[in-house]
Amino acid sequence: MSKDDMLATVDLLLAEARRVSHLTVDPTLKREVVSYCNETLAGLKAAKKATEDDSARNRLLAAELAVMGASAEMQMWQHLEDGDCEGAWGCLVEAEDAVHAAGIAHVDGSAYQVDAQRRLMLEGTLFPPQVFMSTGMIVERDSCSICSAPYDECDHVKGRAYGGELCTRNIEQAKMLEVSIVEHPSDRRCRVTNFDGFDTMTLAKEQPANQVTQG
Amino acid sequence: MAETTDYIDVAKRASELGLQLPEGVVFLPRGFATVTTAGELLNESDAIDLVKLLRAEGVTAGMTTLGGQNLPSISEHDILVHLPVVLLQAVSPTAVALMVDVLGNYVYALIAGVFDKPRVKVEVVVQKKPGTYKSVRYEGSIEGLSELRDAILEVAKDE
Repeated sequence: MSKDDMLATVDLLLAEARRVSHLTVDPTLKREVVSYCNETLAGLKAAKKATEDDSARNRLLAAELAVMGASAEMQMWQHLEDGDCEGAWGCLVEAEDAVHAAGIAHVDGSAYQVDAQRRLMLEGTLFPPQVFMSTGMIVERDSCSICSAPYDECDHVKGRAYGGELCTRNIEQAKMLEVSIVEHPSDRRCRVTNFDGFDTMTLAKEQPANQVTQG
Repeated sequence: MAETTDYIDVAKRASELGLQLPEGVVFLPRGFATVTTAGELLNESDAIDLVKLLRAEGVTAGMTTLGGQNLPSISEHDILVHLPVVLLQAVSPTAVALMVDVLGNYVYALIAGVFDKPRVKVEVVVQKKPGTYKSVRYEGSIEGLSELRDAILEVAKDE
């Protein structure tokens, strides 16, 4: 499939994901979207391989990230159906991060930002406010995911796309400096999970370990 | 809004700490004006990215070094952008405009979609002549960064 055909397929897929992403919609339809996402991701990877144009690869990467986000959002609903709040939260964060990355990967990725706003609304509606943690570290050794050079010695910038791949700064050795409670962590999966005996997700009182009854 | 005040003699302070200052736009390490020894200095993680982005725009940029080695950098896993203090030494108005654009785009890319109204807090130190430095501090919206650019250019020409 050509790049343009792939992108048109992605647009249709994302429209379907938005259509079924509601609490009352039949779970089967959400599972179908996940399956459709997996097929589309395989097609996007193949299309990326087939082109040598860096900009085209980055455009396909942006679409890939948007599809990954849609798949994670559908899986969030599945976790909620199963009563797995932790898993649902993890999927929502993954979906939010993916669409944010899509916007940086390629200028056309900004078209997918409509999902970012919708997911923020879902977050506020489905989950109680969370308290987050953040670590501060002194980096002793790191490398660039694109060229493997020490990160301060190459020209690649973390979060940007190069030839269809996102650049990350791989921290290989670091000294822990502090852990803080923050409002806006870079990884929102780092959160306080219970406080004063209450689960911060369900707000239910947790049973002390020695009082948990064995099934 | 941008505010202008006097700043310490950067070259003298760097010399006291044994630091080498490269030319052009320099990102000063955290604690530059306050630490007792150079061993306490840390480069902001964001400084590394900003140097790369400025160089990609053709602007001479770098970070202070100690004995020819880069200082250790600090990595903080919150999403707030820890903008380092920026030192401008004999840079052109074009380079100032590029620097402000790069800062704005960098912050926007990191926090767009996270905050409704992203805000920037940055301090830029302008070398007016050897031994004389002025600090321009800006806190406000990304869209308002043109105020910072205008304040820097005003300080630079105000002899």
